[in-house]
Amino acid sequence: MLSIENLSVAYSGKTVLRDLNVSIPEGKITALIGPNGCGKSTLLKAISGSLKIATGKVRLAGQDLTKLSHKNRARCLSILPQSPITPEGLSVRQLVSFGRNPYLSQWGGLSVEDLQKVQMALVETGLTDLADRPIDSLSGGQRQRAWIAMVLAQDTQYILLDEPTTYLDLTHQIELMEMMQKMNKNGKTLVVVLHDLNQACRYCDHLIVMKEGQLIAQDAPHKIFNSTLLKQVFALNAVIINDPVANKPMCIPL
Amino acid sequence: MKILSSAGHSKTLTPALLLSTLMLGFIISLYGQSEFLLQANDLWQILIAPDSQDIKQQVILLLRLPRSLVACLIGFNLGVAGLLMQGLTRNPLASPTLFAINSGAACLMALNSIGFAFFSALPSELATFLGALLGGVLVFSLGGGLRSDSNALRLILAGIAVNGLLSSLTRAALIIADDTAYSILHWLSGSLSEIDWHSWSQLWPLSLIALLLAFSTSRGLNLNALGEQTANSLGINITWLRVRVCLAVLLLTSISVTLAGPIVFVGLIAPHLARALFNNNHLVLLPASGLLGAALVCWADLLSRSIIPPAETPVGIITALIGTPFFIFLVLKGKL
Amino acid sequence: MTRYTQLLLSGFLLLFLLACLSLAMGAESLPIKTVLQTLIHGGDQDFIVNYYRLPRILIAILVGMGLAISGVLTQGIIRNPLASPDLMGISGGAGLAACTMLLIWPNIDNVWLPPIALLGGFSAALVIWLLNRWHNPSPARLALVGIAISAFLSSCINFLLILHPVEVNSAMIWLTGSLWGRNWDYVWPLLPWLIVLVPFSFYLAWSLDLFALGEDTADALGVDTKGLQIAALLSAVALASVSVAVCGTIGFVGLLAPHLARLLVGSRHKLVLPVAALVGALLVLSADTLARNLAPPLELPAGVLTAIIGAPYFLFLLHRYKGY
Repeated sequence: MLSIENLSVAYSGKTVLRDLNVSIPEGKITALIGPNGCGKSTLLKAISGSLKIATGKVRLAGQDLTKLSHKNRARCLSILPQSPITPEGLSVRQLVSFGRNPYLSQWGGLSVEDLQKVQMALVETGLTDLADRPIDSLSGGQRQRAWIAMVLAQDTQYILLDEPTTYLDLTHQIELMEMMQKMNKNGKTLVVVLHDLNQACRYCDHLIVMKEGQLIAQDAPHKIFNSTLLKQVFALNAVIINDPVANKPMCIPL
Repeated sequence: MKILSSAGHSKTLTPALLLSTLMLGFIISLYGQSEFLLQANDLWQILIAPDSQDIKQQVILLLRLPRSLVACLIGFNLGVAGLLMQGLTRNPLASPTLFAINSGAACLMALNSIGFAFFSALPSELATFLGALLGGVLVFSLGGGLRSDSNALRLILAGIAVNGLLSSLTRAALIIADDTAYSILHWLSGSLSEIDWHSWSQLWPLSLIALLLAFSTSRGLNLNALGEQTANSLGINITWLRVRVCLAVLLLTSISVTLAGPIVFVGLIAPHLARALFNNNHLVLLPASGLLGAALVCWADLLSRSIIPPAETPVGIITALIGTPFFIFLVLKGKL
Repeated sequence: MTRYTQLLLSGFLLLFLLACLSLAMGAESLPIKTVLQTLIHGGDQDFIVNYYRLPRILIAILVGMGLAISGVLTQGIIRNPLASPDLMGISGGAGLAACTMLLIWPNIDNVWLPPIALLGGFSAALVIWLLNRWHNPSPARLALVGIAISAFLSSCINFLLILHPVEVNSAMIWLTGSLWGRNWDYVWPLLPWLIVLVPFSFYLAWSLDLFALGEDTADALGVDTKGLQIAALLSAVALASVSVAVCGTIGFVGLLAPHLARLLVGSRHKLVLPVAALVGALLVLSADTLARNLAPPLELPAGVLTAIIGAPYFLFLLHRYKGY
């Protein structure tokens, strides 16, 4: 169980998160939703330790994450940033093998087990045919799959994804969401920042709704996703109907 | 399969070519362009019939060999330093020359050697190290490299301004100290003419430490190429990586400046050539960039001796004449 | 009296006082009274004052004016706050040409210096112009290319000086700019060029104001923009080159003076040009006076001192500049 206790984070003098208490349920897909600038990405960065925490704690199974070494933390938890940098000429296989970094010793190379994990990640994301292609020659959807494969090779219990569907067309968005469900079935806990509320309700088991750096609500979609919440958080007038295909709540703006 | 095998072919061919270029330069520089009319045969004689009375053999062993070795190692150091800087900042123009690390080291080295204030009390290696640090810190703080919205171009322009400032100070200091010394011009342009075995024994231990440090960061630099957040998520301690890379760069550059003055642009050219020849893996790039730097300085030194024998052109002028057009090419190609 | 006239007058006064001071100070310091007497009647100190220091001061003033006006014209046409003749390689080209000539024919008459330097300056400008046409880089990148070209040219100069070793002070003229050993023989070749070019640049001032509104607007207002660009750039290159011909590449004056002038009197070229010329003259004269008096009888190159002031200012400009 990943729990965030009394977390406050300040960015160049401005407090972005204030006294946040959130717990991420194990073995589920959790969606972080909220208007732009509400602190979703900041929360992910704070959890993954790439931002300094002002006060509060991030605990993983009772253990303080900030106390862990970088490598040990990277074995428990991985994050895919919103727009990672793609170096020129790097092949897919090389990128995916970077995911094994937390398991390597200072001077050692990839072991047989590492190579197996890399291969498994490539298979799982359907990239075996593209493995030796440079990433910058791939399409947007394929590129995102390569990044997911890297995270899979990292083989962590928790996977955080920061707006993974941005810049993808609808087909690839759905493909990605289904891939997330598959990862979830294999026992991973996922935390995703999403902008599309209907996708969040349909594919995720748990919603965390934020506004202006504070938690508004957190629970399963069918329990909290209603028109009052939308009005309160997004200042949006909408009706909620039942999605006839997935039997999940779905909003239609008025 | 065909593609695979041809890739495998070039994987052995390119390093072989690179190594033979370096070896050829090294060997020719041992006997080429000498007042003593050395020949390749003299090298052979050293191997098969060493003779401590033979003046030609002594020239090679006591003057030429250390000089060529130092040239290669300095080139290697500068090539590696440039690659480290480009890897860490993800700025394709980052290099000891353009980030004023060279000129900072040269400035304090000059102050140290003319006996200015407390600088004269420091050992020269420490003075150049502090100078290199000073240059780098000035560029980064004034060029806004520490801010989150830092701009690569601005950093480079700031580097050039700091460079101008520091080299002006160096010139002023040296002229005030001794207005007759024409050797100022030589040393300021980077010259290998004063090198002997003592320089080599000064150079190699520190270089070895710094190079080991450099190679220990290669995996971190591979991941750093994906962006700081990703690298962090993959278990890299970014702060620690930065500290190690900076330390290695400062050591590599300052020890080279101590011995030969600022040899410019090697740290810019070598990494780019290495990247054009090999893939993106820093574990391969680091030695490749080092070897290219070594070959570059070795050949430039040979060239510098052959332009107006028996006088010597400072090797730094040769590298500047090669490096600046390369720099213009990089800027125009939109590498920034 | 308007504020502008006051400013101009006080600038002249300052320049005059500085010139007097500079006449009096040096390896051998003289009382001001002796200096003024010597200026009019000659006497014991005739050589030091009238033949050594006076021409040098005149050259400092002329060169400072030339570089500053050249900077105003360049910045006006390229509309790039980071542009200046020395940062764009023009000074470097002029310096290389003049230095080459002097090394090949050491006894050549000084009259030939400005035209040869002009040739070098124009070639460098042509290279920049061609690169600009082919690649159309952003302003900051253009500055970078210019700096790189300057660096290349100065390593060529460096190379030449190693091939033909000369005395260290004369080497410094071409490496950093210095007024060492400049006398009346250098004033006369410089003067006619400035007498023609300075008024001409004032003549362009009004059109440059319109040009500042953008090329299209200036066109619509009836300015021959092509002609203006060519005229202004040619005179900028010429002014910088003849200045460099006499005392080498004194850096940063062409960058600094226009900025300071604009800070003082706004952006209208008619007002900016005289103030910039004054500021340039003050800069070079004070740099040279300092250079002679910091460690007499040793001399620092004046260019070293302008760089020590200019480089931090360039950093400040980078800090404020937003259009990367």
